[in-house]
Amino acid sequence: MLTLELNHLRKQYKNKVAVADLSLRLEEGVYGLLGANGAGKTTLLRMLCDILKPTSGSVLCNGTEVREMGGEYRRLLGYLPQDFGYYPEMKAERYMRYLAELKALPPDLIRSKTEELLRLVELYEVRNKKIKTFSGGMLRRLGIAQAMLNDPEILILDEPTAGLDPKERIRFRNIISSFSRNRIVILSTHIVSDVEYIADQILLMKQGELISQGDLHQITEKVRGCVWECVTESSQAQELNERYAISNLRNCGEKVSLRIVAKEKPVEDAVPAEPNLEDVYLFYFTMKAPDGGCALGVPARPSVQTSDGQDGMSK
Amino acid sequence: MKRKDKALLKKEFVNLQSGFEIDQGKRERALACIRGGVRAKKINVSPSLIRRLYVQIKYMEKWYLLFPVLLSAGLLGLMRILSREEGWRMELLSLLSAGVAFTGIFGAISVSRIFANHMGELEASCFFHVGEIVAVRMILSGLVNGVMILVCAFVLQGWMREELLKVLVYILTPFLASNCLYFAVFLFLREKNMVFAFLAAGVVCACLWFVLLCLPWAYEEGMLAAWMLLLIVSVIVFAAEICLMLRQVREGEMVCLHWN
Repeated sequence: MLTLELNHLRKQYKNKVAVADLSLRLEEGVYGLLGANGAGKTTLLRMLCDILKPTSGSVLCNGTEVREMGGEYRRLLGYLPQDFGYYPEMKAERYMRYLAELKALPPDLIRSKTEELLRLVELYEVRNKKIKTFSGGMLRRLGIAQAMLNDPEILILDEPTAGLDPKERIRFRNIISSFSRNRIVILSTHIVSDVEYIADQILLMKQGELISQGDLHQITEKVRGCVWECVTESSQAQELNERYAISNLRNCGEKVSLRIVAKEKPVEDAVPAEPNLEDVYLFYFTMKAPDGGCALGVPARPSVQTSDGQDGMSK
Repeated sequence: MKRKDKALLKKEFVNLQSGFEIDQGKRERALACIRGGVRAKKINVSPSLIRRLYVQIKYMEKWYLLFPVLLSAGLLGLMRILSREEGWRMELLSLLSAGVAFTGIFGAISVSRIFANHMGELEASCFFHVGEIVAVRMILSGLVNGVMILVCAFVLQGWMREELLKVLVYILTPFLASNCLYFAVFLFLREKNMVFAFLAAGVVCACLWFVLLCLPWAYEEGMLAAWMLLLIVSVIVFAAEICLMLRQVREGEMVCLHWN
């Protein structure tokens, strides 16, 4: 079984600690990495990919340090960076072939694999177009395709669904789910629903540290009793919006239906609600309570979410 | 066998199976062994240096290799015309110095393009690492420039009736010294689009070497030692810059930071 072990991994840029003494063992499965901007997710992924040298600590793949494995480790790796790079003048098919060469694919496999993946991400029809003409969604799909070129056993995706429309996101989730068997897939995203649907394990990062880890049930259980629903007047809704983290706000005629993340009952007629991952996100990343929990009276940045469940959570 | 018999057999088989208990641990271990076997059978190709050079030549923009050739050919043509004039000797050398100093920018641009397009991070995750890609591009650029410099030096020494080695020193020094500046620009500026910075540096270098025309003593016999010294210093500085760049690439600083 393939394992990745992170031993006291740390990365420091001058005075800023991006990843602080992080230890973790990853086995086959899909891991969703959640965290606010600047939490250290991208730095962690770069160190996992052996792109960035840690200040201290190590990453072991099946017991061997990845920096020692060099090319043999990168052979196992598929990576989609947050800042997806491409040569603007290159055509999509040529770009895929170039990366297939860099990934040391056998020459007779390059053509078939490129075609297969371009079809999978629905870019086959535009394979002869220059990449600079692609939309954001098309670029992301191309990025996903290139990451899978070498049939990687470790697939690391940094913000894979940024710029994809809902249909493309669903398609992406299905691709990853079917691809993830017997592999380690790590995806970092702000889009909570993606993690909710496909991750076996969820990792929450804050200020360079891993603050929580577990499956969806374990993670959401941690905020049970901190999620409330109530229907209130719009004037009171405004006041509540300023005081608490609101995970959903919906107009119901004259009144407003609110979903609030708060440690104590925010209003008299609020009823406890079943927590979901978006509530967990708000609990850990929006609340400003000293104990990391949600406290009454602590002004939280209003975080009103739209009904499609995306914008409020994405960056 | 009739369909009815088949169904009967299947039923009997299922009944017999229900008496067995599958040891999940053993099952997992057996599956892990099979997966290990499959992994071990995976054919891994390690491309040779020739293959790596070929890949870069095939996929890189050819202009970076063609420009120095075209520029050198243009310079040789111009020098051929000027060499027919009486008294033109050192002028040819200055012109060639300025020309080769400028051609160095194409190598630097071809390397910087990797990083300017954010390709560095992606290429750093591939088997064929970005450090190797940078090295291969520099080798290609060096080969093209080297051949062109040799050709130019060989032709020029015939026209000037000077020793080949001496002419080579006069040409290699501006080439290497200018490359030191271009790579310093590359290492310290790190802007998204550095083509204009390189062009500006190229023009400055070309002008500086052309100014030597006004200093006739610069090419006197006694100054050759100074040229040699400058050449050695340039080689050392250039090598140090390359080492620094490759170290930064390997540690990820150059690949991940500063380019956003």
